Amino acid sequence: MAARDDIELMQHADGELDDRAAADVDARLERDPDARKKADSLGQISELVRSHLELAADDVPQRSFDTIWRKVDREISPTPEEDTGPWARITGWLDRHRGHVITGAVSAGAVAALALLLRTPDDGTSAPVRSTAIDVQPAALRVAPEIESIDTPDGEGTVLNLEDEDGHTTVIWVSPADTVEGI
Amino acid sequence: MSIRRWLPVLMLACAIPAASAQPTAPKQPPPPVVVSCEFLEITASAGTTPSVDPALDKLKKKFKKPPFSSWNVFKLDHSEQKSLTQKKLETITLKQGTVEAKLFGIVNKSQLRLSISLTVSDKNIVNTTATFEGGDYLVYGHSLPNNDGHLLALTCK
Repeated sequence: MAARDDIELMQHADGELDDRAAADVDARLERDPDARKKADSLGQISELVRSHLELAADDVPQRSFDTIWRKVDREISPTPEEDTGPWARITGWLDRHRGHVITGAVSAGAVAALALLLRTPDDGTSAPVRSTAIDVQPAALRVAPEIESIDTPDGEGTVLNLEDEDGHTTVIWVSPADTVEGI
Repeated sequence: MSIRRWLPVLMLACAIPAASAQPTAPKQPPPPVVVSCEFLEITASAGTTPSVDPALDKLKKKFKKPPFSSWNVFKLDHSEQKSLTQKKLETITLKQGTVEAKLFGIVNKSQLRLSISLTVSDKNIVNTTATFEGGDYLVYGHSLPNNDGHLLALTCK
C-alpha cells in the first residue's frame, strides 16, 4: 500500500493526477507528516534535475545551435541558390566543416614551412664553372711524363727526360732523317 | 569514417611532397675542362756571349744540359698563353710556323693528356700525344739549316 501511495505522491508532484485524486493526496499530505516529508523531497529532486538540465543546455556550444538553426531554416524554406549552385554547395560544405579545414590548412602550412626551411639549397645552378681543372702538384710529387705516341714525318724523334728540383722537362728532339750523327 | 576526419591528413599529404620537392632546374652539362697553357717559341744559337732571355729563366738550368748545351744564346721569339678546352683543337701561330694543340682530358687530377702537332715552314715536324704533370715542361726541338735550334716549350696549369 505504501508503494502505491508513493507513486501517487510522485504523480502529484509531476501534476499527472486528476482533480479528485489530487484532492485526496492533498488531504493525505495535511494529516500525514511522513507523506508531507516525501512530497517535499520529491519537489527538491525535481528542482535539482531541472537545474542540472538547464546548466547542460547552457554548455552546448553556440555553433551547434547555429548548425541546428541552419538545418531547420533549410528544411523549412529551402532557397534555390543553396540547393542548386555548385559554388554554394562548396562554400556551404566549407562552412559546415570550417574547423577541420582550418586545422588542416594550419597543419599543412606549418609542415610546408618546415620543409622549405630544412630544404637544402643545392639546386644545381650554384656550382662554379671551373676554368682550371688541373691540380698542380709540388715538383717532388710529380710523376714522369709519358709520351704515348710520336710521329716525325721527315725525321727521327728522340725523347729525353730532364728531372731536377723544378720537376720534369721532357724533350722531344727531331733529327732530320738524313742526319748520321746523333744529338 | 567521415571525410571530415581525414581532411587535415589529406592536406598534409599534399603539402609535404609539394614543399619538399626540389625546384626542377634544367639539368646542365658538366662544365668543360679547361687548362691554361703557355707556349714559348725559342731560337737557340751559338754566340760569343752567352745569354738567355729573361722570360726563359725557368728553363735556364735545362739549357745547360744536352741537347741544349750545344747553344748558349736562347732568345724568345714568341710567347702565348692559351686556354685549351677539352677536345677542342687550338692553333697557335708561331714566328716560324704553327702549333696545333688538343686537350684530351685530365688524368689523376694533376696530369693532362695533350696532343701537339708542330709545323715549321709548312712542313710538319712532329706530332705527339703525351701525358704530363701540370707545371712540367714539354720542349720540342729541331735543328734549323743554319745549325741554330728551334724550340717550342710549353707548360700547362
